[in-house]
Amino acid sequence: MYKLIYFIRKFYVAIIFFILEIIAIACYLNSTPYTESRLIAANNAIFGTFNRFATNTVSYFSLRRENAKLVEQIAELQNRLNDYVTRYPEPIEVGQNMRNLHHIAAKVMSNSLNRNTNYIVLNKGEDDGVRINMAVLTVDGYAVGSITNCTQHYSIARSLLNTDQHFSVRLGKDHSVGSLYWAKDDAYTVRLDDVSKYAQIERGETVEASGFSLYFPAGTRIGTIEEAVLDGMTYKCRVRLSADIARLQSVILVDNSEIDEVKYMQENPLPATEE
Amino acid sequence: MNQQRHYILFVMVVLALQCLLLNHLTISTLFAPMVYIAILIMLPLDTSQLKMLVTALLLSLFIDVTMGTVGLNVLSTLPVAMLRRPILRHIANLSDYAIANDVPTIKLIGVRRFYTYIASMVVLHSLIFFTVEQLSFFNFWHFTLRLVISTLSSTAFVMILLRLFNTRFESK
Repeated sequence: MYKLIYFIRKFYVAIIFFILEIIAIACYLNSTPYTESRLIAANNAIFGTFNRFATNTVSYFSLRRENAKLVEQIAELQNRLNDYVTRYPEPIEVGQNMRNLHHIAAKVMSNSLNRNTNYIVLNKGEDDGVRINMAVLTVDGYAVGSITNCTQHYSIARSLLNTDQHFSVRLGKDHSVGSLYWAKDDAYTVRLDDVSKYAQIERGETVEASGFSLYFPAGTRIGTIEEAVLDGMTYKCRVRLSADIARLQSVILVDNSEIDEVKYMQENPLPATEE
Repeated sequence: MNQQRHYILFVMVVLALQCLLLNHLTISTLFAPMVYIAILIMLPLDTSQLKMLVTALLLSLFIDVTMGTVGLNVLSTLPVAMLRRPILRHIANLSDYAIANDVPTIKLIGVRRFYTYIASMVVLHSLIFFTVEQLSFFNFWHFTLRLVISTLSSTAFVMILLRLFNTRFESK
């Protein structure tokens, strides 16, 4: 209190000056339509800038939530599309052997890139409807891997970056099939072998999951041909992956509820005989 | 006492010149001399800040009333009153000359310092006055020309006035 009184006594002239100036400015700015309009314009400019800054800041911090919402919406739309495909199958090529697909959006919790078999941990588990062998796709629909195990709340997927698996794929234009595998080159390229020498192959040609693959719906894009070398009767190709697995944040899990039935049929081609 | 009479006469002449002549001049929009600031310039050197402020407020309110403006002269004159002492201290080394009831004269602070002091006060006042009056730099060159011409004419008028009254103030 004493300090306040001391301050006022020391600077009372300056305080009076500022009060008088503020009163004079207020009187002047409200004195004519011109000054009023200038005041409003200045007001709008200052508060407009502040509001824009505040809105941009808030938007920036809500991007993660918005992104998650968008991914959920994509999954929801994919489900609706599949309902449509089931009801009117003729115009849709995708899923001739995997019609009954269900989509789940998930977030990537961890992602390895430097092992022989690389895994991606996801934040959705059995409670969310995740099942083993579900396909893992990017939000854009590019192949990433397949679910190998899941708990109540989490699941783990084996990405395309593994040296154990070979995938059956085909070329986008002439549908020549080949075998795709990872040769540990880097996280962006895989190898494609056993493509017929008669295939119409060229740089930039798309590579997609063939109808023989049970993990990925037929036509799921995997990558593009970067280099193709004729080796005897077949082409050996290097394929650039469409999915940027190193930067994965959100994925879509695609469930084929008929996979078990198909697998059972593949494993039991003949009818069971009664003994 | 003699000096006080001279000062009152000086104030009346300045106010008459400002209110009866200069406020009604319609030569050009670029020409708007403000000579009433001379009253503040010629206040005694030992005038306290509070007295300066009150004088400036009363003077500028009177000019506002006669010019038909609301607050424009007040908000441009008060800063000049507040900065008069620092300007004087900077230009004329006030402490050496702060003699009771002495007004700033050529004899007291020297010709060059005296005119520098007048020019500084007038330029400061004009700069605030015309900037606040315009409130926009939309017509920048017109604004600049008006500021320069009005400041030069104000300075000239004030110098002439002070030159006329200088001998009276010096012979106290």
